[in-house]
Amino acid sequence: MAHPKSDLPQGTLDLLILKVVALGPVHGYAIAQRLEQVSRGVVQIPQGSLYPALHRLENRGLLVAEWDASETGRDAKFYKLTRKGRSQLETQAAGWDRLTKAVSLILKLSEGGAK
Amino acid sequence: MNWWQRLLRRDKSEEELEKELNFHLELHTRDLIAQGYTPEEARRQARLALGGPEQVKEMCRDARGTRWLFDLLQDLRYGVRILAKQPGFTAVAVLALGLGIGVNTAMLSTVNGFVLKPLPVEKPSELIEPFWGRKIDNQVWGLFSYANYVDLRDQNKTFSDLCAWSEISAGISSSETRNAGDTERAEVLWGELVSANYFDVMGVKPVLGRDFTPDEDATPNAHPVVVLGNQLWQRRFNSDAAIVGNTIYLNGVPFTVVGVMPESFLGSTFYLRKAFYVPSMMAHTFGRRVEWRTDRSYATFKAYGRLKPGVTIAQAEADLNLVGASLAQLYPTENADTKIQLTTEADGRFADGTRVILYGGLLALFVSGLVLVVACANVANLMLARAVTRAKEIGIRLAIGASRGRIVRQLVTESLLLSLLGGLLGWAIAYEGTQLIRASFPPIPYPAVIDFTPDGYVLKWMLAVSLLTGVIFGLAPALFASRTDLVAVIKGAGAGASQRGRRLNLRGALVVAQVTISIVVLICAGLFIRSLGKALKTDPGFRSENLVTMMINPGLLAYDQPAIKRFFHQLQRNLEAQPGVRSASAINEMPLAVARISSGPIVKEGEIDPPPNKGLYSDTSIVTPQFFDTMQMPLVQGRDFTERDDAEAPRVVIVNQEFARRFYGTAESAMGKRFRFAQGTPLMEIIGIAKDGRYRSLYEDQQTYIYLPFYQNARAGMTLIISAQSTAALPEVVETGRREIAQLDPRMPTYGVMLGNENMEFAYLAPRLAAGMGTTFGVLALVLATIGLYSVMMYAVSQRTREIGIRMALGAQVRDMLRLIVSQGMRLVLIGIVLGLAGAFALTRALGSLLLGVGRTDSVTFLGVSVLLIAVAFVACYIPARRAARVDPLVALRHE
Repeated sequence: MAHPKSDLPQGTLDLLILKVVALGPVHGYAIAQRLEQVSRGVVQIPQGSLYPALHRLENRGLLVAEWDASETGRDAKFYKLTRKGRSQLETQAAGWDRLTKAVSLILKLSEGGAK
Repeated sequence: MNWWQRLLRRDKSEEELEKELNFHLELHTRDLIAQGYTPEEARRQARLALGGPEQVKEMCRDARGTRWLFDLLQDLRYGVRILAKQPGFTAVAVLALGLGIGVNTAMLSTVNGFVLKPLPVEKPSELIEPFWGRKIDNQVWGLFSYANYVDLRDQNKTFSDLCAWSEISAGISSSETRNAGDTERAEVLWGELVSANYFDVMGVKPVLGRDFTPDEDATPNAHPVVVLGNQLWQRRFNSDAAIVGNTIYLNGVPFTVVGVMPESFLGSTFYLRKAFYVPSMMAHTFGRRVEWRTDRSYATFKAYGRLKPGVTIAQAEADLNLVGASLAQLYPTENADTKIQLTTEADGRFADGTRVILYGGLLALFVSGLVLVVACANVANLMLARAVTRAKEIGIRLAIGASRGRIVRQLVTESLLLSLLGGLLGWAIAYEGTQLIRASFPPIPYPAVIDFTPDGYVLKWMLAVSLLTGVIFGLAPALFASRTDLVAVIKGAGAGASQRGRRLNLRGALVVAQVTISIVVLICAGLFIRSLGKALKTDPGFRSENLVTMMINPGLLAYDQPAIKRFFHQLQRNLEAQPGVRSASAINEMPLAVARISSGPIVKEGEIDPPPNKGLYSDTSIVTPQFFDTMQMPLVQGRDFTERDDAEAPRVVIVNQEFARRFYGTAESAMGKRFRFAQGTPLMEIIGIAKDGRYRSLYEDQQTYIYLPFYQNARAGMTLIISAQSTAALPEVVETGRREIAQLDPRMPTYGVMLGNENMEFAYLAPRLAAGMGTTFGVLALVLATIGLYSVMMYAVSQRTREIGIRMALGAQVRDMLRLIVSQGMRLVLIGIVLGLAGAFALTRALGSLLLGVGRTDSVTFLGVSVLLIAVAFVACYIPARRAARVDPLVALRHE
């Protein structure tokens, strides 16, 4: 991995987790793997902060968890999105969208201003 | 999930957390092995990637919001272990707190039981009590005439309802007359005349039968129906469920029982338990004058009401005064200058008599609060001393990364644990204490409601106080301990001298505070004991040891005036012929008893009536002939009343020496003079002067007193006084009295029987209670302060062992060491005493009349208490000093 890894901006971990879980019931390790694949190694997600985040989201009622047989045959804790979680995902995603658009707009503007 | 569900499921969620993380590690390891790592290396890498499993777990707990709970459990478990490991410390601390909290809870329960408990009615805080009075009075506590009540009820616009009630008493029997052989106990009951809407306004429903219909309270004497109080129903009718519909006789008149009230309901007042309720229309049966319903000057009713939603007390008061003003215009003779005042029932309680009880109660609470402060100072002191011995433990915990907040939390948890244990002990002490206080009450000839048992209100306060004390005495030492200088502590106890100095100063200050407060409490106790001593030595002006008194009231049986006079005349005659009886008479209210009657304004012959609210009043009793002989209260001038001083004879009166002095200069010049009460009552000639006595309380300044002759002023309710030949004859004389009364009228109940010195019990009640409580508080404060001083001195000696060793090695004598240590302690004590004396001086100044007749700066008490405290403190210093003096220099120096 040649390119440097960025730190995840504050608050985005929750959004990413919600997005991954939205695709279907999934356990913690799978979420970690998915996040790493999707971000193609650009974003550094310490696995240690994944579980506290999962528990926090569960506690806030955005996720529910269920114990179920995993691909290894052992019971694993699978996370699922609640309705509250889904609407939260939508608002946060929209917010994120607006923010990134605004930020890139500003970045372009400043280039224009230097002309 | 609730926090308590989490608490219960804590093990399960911990287990799941563990399982979840293990699963993660397992899969990661598997994948790493697949990438070519050796199993060992794969496991290591997986762990590294996740971070320390314990830290992750901790963060997850944080995320779930169960962290504090986890910590609390840990702290509690640790606290219990620590406390169990030091049973001596724990026992002393819990005992000190238990005593402190206990006396306060007992005091609060007592005050609560006396005056604070709400009436057991619906929404007691919204029960409004109007009072009727005149504009010239500041505060009015007057009663309503029935006619005025009805107009106010019907014409006001702010009350949803307004009811009326009036206290009455009656003799009860299950047949119209009783025969001599009848075994049924004659008794007098307290009850109420109530308007039909009374039970609706109070918001209570009968448990059996029904309450009154409007119909039953519409026509005078038409519906003799009665609702019984629960206790009467249980006691006299064995909780007979078939009582409704039965007939009972009240004052010889048959009444039909229509209902029974619930056990909690005791009537309209907080101090007297009512046994029955009858419609107000039955008033005449209970001795009210025939014109009770129409005469607007005949005020015998009290009122309770409920306001319409959204109406304030001030609005309702303005509204009632509007109605009152129109009543004043319509009926100027009776209603001129009407003013109506509204309070809640709870505020209305503190009218006059109960205010003293309230102030006394508040004083007692204040003093017991001081005891609690001493107890807290004590425990804080112990905690500080312990913080030193625990400094090493705390230092290590800080060193390995515990946050200061966490340490403080831990220490406060420990002190809360202590204070809750103390609260538990305090509850037990309070429970026993209130029973003790209750038991110390003399027999009261009324069904008084005196329930001091701690209730929910008290429990709530006690819990709050326990927690508060826990925080107070726990927080300061905890903050102190957590500021520990790590290096110094871990290096050894010898270092950190500046810390120790500061700590000792703080502990010294606590001791000074304890001594100061103890002095104040002890001085209060001393003053109360002196005041009891004074009470017991005070001559009440009569001899009570051979007296039997009992109350009788022929008016309950509807005797008219001539019949009442005949009854007492015959009874007195018959009694005096009995063996064992020296003399017999009657008085309407005994001196130094509960009730008193005042007459006035007094107008000397030839003078005109004073303007309203001016002029002098005097307490008054109505007595039969022989009263002064029966009471052994000598007449210093003139003659006693005789039966010839009756309605046909010229009006006569006997006054006491003080009355003669105040109005006529001397007893001699008062003799034969005439005076009257204002508003046209006839002139009365002074025919005798009685020796001065005590009338309201044993501490009063000399009061004037008037005795009126029974045969010119007959009253129905009288206390019969029989003087026995000897104290031994008292029980026999009681029987004689009852027998002779039954002989004259078998229906006549007697009540409130008192033998010999029981007649003085009520007068001794206040000083006895004050002295008893004062002594308890004083001894507690002294013991607690002594323990505090002793523990500080012991600690100081142990800290100075090395210094003492060096001094001894350099040639200091045992006596020098004793002086060194004792003077260190006594310095604190003396500072405390000076502060305490100043405080007590200020406090006793504020107390004033509550001190029951002892001078505010009673030098004997102030001096005595100081000497006592110095003596006790000296012992508390001397024992540690002896220990210091016995230090072996060699051992002391090797000690480090």
